[in-house]
Amino acid sequence: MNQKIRLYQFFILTLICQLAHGQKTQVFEDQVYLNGNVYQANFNYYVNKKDTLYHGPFALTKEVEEAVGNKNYKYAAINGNFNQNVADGNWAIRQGTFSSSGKGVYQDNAYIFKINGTEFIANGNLDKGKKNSPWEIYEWQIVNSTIDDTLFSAQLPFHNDHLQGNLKLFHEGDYLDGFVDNNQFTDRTWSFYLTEANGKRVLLKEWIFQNNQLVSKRLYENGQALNLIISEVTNQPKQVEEIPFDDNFMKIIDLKASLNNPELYEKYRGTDKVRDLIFEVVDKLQVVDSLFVPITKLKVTPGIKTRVDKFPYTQAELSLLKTAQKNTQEADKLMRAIHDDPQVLLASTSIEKAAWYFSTLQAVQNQLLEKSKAIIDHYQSGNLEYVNRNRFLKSNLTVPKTIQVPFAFNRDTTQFAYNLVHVQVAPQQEPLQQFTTLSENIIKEINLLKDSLDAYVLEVKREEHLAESEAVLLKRQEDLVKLSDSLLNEQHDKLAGFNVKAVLLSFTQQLLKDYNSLALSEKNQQIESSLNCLHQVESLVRNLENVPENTYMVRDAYTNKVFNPYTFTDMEEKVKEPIYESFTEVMLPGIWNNLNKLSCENITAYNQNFNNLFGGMLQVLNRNTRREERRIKRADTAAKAAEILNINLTF
Amino acid sequence: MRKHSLLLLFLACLAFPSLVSAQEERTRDSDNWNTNLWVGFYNNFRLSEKFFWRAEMHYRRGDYEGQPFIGKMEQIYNRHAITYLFSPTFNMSFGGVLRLNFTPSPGNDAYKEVMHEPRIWHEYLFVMPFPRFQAYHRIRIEHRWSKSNSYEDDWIFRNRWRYKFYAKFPLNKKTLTPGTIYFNPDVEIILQTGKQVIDSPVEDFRVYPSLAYISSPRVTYSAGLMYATGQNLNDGTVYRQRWVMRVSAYISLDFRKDEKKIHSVRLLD
Repeated sequence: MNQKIRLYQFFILTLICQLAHGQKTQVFEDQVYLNGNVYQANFNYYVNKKDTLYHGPFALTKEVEEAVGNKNYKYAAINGNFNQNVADGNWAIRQGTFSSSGKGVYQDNAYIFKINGTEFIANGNLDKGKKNSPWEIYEWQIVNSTIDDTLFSAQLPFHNDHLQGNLKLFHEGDYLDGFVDNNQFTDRTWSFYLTEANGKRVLLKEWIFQNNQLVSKRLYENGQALNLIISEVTNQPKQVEEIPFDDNFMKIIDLKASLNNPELYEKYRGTDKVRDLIFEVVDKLQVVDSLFVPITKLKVTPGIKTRVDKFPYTQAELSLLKTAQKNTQEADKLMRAIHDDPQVLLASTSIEKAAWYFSTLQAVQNQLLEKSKAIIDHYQSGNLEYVNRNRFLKSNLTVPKTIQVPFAFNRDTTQFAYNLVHVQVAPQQEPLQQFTTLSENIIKEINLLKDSLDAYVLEVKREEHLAESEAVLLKRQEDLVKLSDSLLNEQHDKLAGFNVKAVLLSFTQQLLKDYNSLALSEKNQQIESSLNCLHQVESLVRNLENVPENTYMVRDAYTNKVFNPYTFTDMEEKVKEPIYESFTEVMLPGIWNNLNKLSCENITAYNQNFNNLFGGMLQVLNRNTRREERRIKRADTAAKAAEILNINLTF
Repeated sequence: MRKHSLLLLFLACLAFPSLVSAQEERTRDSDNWNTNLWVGFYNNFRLSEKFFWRAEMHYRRGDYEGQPFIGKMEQIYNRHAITYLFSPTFNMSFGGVLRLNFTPSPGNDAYKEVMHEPRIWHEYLFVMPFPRFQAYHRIRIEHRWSKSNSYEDDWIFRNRWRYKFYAKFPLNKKTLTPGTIYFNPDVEIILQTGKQVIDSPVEDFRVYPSLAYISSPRVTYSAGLMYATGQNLNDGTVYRQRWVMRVSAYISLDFRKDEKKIHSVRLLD
C-alpha cells in the first residue's frame, strides 16, 4: 500500500514539474533603446500573462564611431544572466573609448588593428538578485591593445546585498582602506596612502571612526601625527543622527573641523584627497547603475551611512535665524538691484562721487553681507544644526567699525576707510542675537549708501532721459515736415490766404530754436511741454487735412439746387446767405489767421476752432436764424460773428 | 469774339423787323399800324416733382389818339395751366385763359366797355440744351371763343396754332445762373382756323428780341421790343402791324415741403 502511495506521489510530482516547465523560452536578437542609445540585444525570455520575463543569458552591446572617419570609437557592453526575470550569476559592465592605430593586419578576411584607449569594467556576482560577494571595478589605460596602467580600482565586499567589511579603493596612486560594518555604517579607521616616486606606499591620513561616528582626522607630516578633532566634547544637549555618507556629510565634517581646529583646518584644508577618492568611486558606481538599474532593477552603489552629533535648534534660535535669513535675502536683493541697474554702473564710471558710493557698497557686500550669506547658507542647508552655534557665530561674526574700501576711478586705484554708520552690535548680546541685529543693520547701511548713490544716478537718468527726449523732439520735427508735405497742399493755401505749411513749420522751428537756447536745467523742465507742443502741431496738421473738404461740404450744405421752369436748368441758391457769407468771408478767414499767431498755449484751442466752426455751421442750418441773419450782416469780425451764432471760437 | 458775334446777332434781330416794316411802307398810313405796351407777370409754382401751376397775368395797353403805346387800355389776360414736367427736355401744359377786351373806342356807346374772351389752350415745349445756351421749340394750341365789343357782332370760334422758336444766350456768364444777363431771340408764327377764317390764316408773326436778367433762381426780368404782323381776319390782303414794347417778370416758387427741397449733407465724417 505504501509503495503504491509513493508511486502515485512520484507520478504527480513528475506531472507538476512537466507543467511548471511547459513555458517556451525564446531568443531575442534585435536593437533596443537604453538611456537614449541603441544597443544590440541578445537575450532569452519567455512570456507569462503578457509579461516579458528574462530567463537565461543576457547581453547588450553598443559600438559607435564618434564621428565618421575619425577612427575614435566608443563601446559599451552588459553581460549577465537571468533566472525567471531575476538577475543571477556573474554580471559585467564594460565601457570604453579607443582609437585604432597603425595600418592593421589582414587576417581571416578582415583587418585587425591595435587600439589605444581606456576601458572601464565592473563585475561581480549576484545570488538571486542580491550582491553576495565582492564586486570589483577597474579602469585601465590600454596601449597597443594591452593593459598599460590601472587608473582606478575598487573592491567592494558585499554580503547579503550589503556593503560590509574592508573597502579598497585606488585612484592614480592614491589608496584608501576603509571599513563598513554589518549595517553599512562607517567604522574603525580609514587609511589613506600615497604612492611615492619609488613605488612605496606612504600613510598620509587616517579617519578615526568610533561607534560609526567620525571623531577625528589624523594627518601625518614628516613622521609627525597632527590631530583634527571633529567630535567635540560639550555640555550642550545633543543627539546622534544617522545620515548618508555623502557630500553633505563632508561639509558638516568640514564645518566641525574648522570650528574645532581653526588653524590646522586652514593649513590643511586643500589637501583632503580622501574625499576626492571616495566620490570618484561613487561616480563610477553611478555610471554602472545607469546601465544596470534599467535592466536588473538592482543598484550596485551601496548606501553607506554614518553617524554625527546634532544640536537641535531652540524655538528662540529658529525665530532669530529666520529673521536674519529674511534680512540677508533682502540685503542681497538690494545689492543685486544696484548691480543690475545699468545707470548705476554708468554713474559709477562717470561721476567720481557716485563711484565712491558704489565702491563702498561693494565693500559692504564683500566684507559683511557675504559673510552673513555664508552663515545663512549653512542654516538653509541644515548643516548649522550639527555645530555649536555660539562658537560658530563667535568665530565667524566680526563687526568692524570701519571697513577698507578699494577705490578705482579714472585709472587711479586707491583705498580709503569707511566708517560704518549703522553696522553696530551690542557686545552683551548673545551671538545669534548679534547676528540678527547685524543683518538688520547691513540693510540700513546699504540703504544709506544707496540713497546717496541714487542722487547721482538720478542726475545720469535725467541726462539720459533728456538726450532720449531731444532725439524724439528732432524726430518729431522731421516727421512733421514729412506729414505737412503729404497732407497740406495749395487748397489749404487758397482757403487760408497764406502758405499754411510754411507758417506751421516756421512755428516749430522757432519752438526748437527757443528750446535750444535754454540752460540744461530749464531744458529738463521744458522738454515735455515742447514734445507735447509738437504733438499738438501734428494733431493740427492732421485736422487741417480735412478743412478743405469740410469747407466744401459746408458750402454744399448751404447750397440749394432750384429748378428754373423758364430756362429749364438747375440753378444754385444759398440757404441763409448772410450766415454763409459770414462763414466764408469772416469766420473761416478769422480762424485761419489764428495760425499766424500760434503758441504752445493756444494751439489746442485754435485747432479745435475748425471743428467747432464746421459743427456750428451745421447746427445753424437746422434752426430758425432770421434774427441772426439780420445781425450777422453787421458783424465785421470773426469773434463777433461767432458770438452771434453761438459758435465757440477762440481768438 | 463771342461778344461780337452775339452783338451782331442782336443787331440782326433788331434790324429784321425794320426790314419787314420797310416792305409795308405803303400801308403805314392806314389804321393797321399800332404800338403797344405789354406788361406780363409770369408765375410758375412748383406743386410736386412733376407738376407746376402756371399763372400768368398780362396787362396790355395800346396807342390812342396820338399817344403811342399806352393811350388806352386794351386787354387783361389771365392765363392758367397745369404743367407736367415729362423730362428736363419736354413738358406739356393744359389750361384756360380768360381775356378781357376793352373797347376800341372809349366813350362810344356802340361798343361794350369790356368783353370777355375765354380760351382753352395746351402747349408742348421741347428744350434743346447746349453747353453754353438753351434753345426751345414751343407748340401752343388755343381754342378761343371771341366776340368783338360791338353789340352787333356774334360769338365766333377759332383755333390758334402757334409755333415759337426761342433761345437764351448768356452774355456775362458761361451758363444761365443767377446774375446772368442773357439775350433771348424769339420768333413765333400764329396760324388760325375757323369758319370765319377765309383768307387770313396767318394771324400773327412775331419777332421779339429781348434782354433778360436772372436775379435769382426764382426771379427773372426781361424787356424788349417786338414786331408783329398778321392778316386781317376780314380781309386777308390787309396786314396789321405792331410795335410792342414788352416788359416781363418771371416768378417761380416752390410750394413743396422743405424737406423735399433741401438735400441732406453729412459733415466731419
